[in-house]
Amino acid sequence: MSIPETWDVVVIGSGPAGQKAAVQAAKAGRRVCIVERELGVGGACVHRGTIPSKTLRETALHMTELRRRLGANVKIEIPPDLQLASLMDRMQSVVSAHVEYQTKQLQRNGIEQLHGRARFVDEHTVAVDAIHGRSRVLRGEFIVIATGSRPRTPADVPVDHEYVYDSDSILGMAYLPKSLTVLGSGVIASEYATIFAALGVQVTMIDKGDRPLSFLDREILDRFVEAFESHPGCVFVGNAKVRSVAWNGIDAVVTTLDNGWEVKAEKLLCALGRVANVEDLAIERAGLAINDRGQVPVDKDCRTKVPHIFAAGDVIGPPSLASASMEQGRRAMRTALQMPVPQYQDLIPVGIYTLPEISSVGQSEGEATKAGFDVVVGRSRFAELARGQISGAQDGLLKLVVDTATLRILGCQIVGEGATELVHLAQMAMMTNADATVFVEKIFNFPTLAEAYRVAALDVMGQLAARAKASPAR
Amino acid sequence: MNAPMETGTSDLSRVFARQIADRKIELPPLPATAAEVMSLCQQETTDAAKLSAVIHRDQTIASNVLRVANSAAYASQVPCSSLQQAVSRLGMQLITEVAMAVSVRGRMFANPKCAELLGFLWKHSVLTGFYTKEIARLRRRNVEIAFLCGLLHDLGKAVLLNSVDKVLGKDELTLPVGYLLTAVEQQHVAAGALLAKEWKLPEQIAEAIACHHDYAAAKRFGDMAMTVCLADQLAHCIAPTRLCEPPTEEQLRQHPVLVGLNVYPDQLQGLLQMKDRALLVTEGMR
Repeated sequence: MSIPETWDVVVIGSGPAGQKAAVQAAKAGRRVCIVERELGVGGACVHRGTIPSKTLRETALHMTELRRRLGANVKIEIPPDLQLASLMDRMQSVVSAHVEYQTKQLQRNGIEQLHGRARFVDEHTVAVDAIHGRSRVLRGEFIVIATGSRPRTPADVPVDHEYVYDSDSILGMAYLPKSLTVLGSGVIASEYATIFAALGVQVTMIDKGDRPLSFLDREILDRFVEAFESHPGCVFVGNAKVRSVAWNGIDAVVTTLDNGWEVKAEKLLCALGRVANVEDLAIERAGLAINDRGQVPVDKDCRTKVPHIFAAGDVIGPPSLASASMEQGRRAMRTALQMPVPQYQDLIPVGIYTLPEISSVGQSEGEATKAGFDVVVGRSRFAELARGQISGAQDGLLKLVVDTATLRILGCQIVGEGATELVHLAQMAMMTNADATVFVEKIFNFPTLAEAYRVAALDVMGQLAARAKASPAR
Repeated sequence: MNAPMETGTSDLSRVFARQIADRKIELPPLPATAAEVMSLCQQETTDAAKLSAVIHRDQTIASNVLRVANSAAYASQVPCSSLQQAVSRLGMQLITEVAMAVSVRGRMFANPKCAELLGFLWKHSVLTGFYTKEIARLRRRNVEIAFLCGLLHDLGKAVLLNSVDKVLGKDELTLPVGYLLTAVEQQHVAAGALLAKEWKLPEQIAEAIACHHDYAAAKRFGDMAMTVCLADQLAHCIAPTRLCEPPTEEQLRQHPVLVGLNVYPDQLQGLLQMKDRALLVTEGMR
């Protein structure tokens, strides 16, 4: 074995969590080495998930827009033999630009980058096996595990990347299929289901839950399902248990459900969750073990049971959002280096890039009621907004969940155009403990979708006034 | 026909190059069935019935599809006697691949004057197709079109071997095989690119043909060009022929394309261990 190289911090994985951990440590003046097993920094977020899928989504979004604006007069169709790659022309340049930017950021901060597979030798030592050449051995005062996750493949779903895909390979399809079955109804399943639906593919979404994205507000989900099923041939099949998945050898992947139903589609996407990338790490040599969900257990500051080893991002489990992973990486490093650690942030917005977009922050109406709050919910339908009418985004809905007693905003859920941007206004209001009147009193640009906040807040005030009128004793 | 000439490698290579540049090299038309199959393969409305109907019209393809369905790689306990049964056993994608392979082979690999070399080339092409698919699967990339990219990557060599007697103006080839192969090696990419254009092959296949040695030059499908490059090397390594000096396993382990594809040594070993299956599939398409 080579002589160990000594580093203050060794970071394994260069996705959102690893990168931010490395930069944080470097900015604190530490010598940092970051190890990445894939080519190029960025992790699955840049190369396989977030960014590539959003590039295809952008095309689907434009198609939807074009149909909405011109569909009555111009027939807008995707030619049947169009290669899928043609719909993602910009993907490579977007990914390359992102990788270049991130690489430069690491270089600027003097962070050594190593390409290879890392494995623990002991609790302070990591060996890095390269594709060519000898292994390098790194000894770190602190080590951060940020190896991310990959699609879970259940044993009874024959993922072959030819007929049955996972979320890593789905964008490698040569041509747009005529029909697609999507197993699962989480964030990734829902995003792809709606993207392909918007591109004219007949999509059947199958899940054991009664509706997709079951952790979200039901009213928002009803809107989402309605929008999804408005595409010809698209349907959500809930409360369904899959008995088998098999390529029929001729022209279809057949999904057989427990109730005897058979769903046939040209291709199938298996999106039944993700598993942490820990198999190459030999974490037992560092005195660590995974939990029963296959993830690395950590405390609220992302510290494992070995005090100088931290873990962040998908490898520690939910929420598995790039935004949360970045914060975890920073937090882990600040804790390790005994720097002031900001108050723990549990107010993380959820952004789901479905068509239409969904976003949420704080508690939903159901969660707040369950938590004992007497709530009033203000609603704003985008169809009632000038901007919604102008842009044609009339199927949107914003819900503002407000505590009746204090008018404090407890949560906000949005479905519709711009939801993932709009939600930040609610997040900032909540973080500064502003009450709902802030949206009534302050002046926003007109016409904008942000006007939805004002409409929803006025709805809250109206409902409270009506209540007061109905029960003057209160 | 050109006047007979004495030829060394560099002369022959120059002649090939000039003929390619002047577009005088003989480019056979894409076999009608292959064209139809390729077109069907790209249409979303294609189904097994349409594909069977096209194959039915071509007895050579139909009989070869049946032969492949009954070959050791795909046969079950029940022999396959009808085309419908074969379609059911092999699946539409594989039928498409077989149909393409058979029709291209009949047109491009049939010059009796170079029968032995074209035989080697055919075996190497099928092996490369097999490995292109397996590498793509390993890397969770596009598996669908991978086989055809690998199968057709050296089509330029077939073009040149098919036309060498006409180029030289000789009925009997007395040229040392080494000279011929070196010239073919030097010019096959250009010849293949010309044929891909003539046949209007899909861009991914055209780039695999043009860039499987110089994958950095690929414009849109660099990943597939690298995949074919590695598959080409693997095929040469596990089944050496006179076509070129095969790489040793150690040379393969040091090949720069492994970095481009991010294939680690244990994964390469896994591919090498597929040798028996690869040869079985190749034998089936012989």
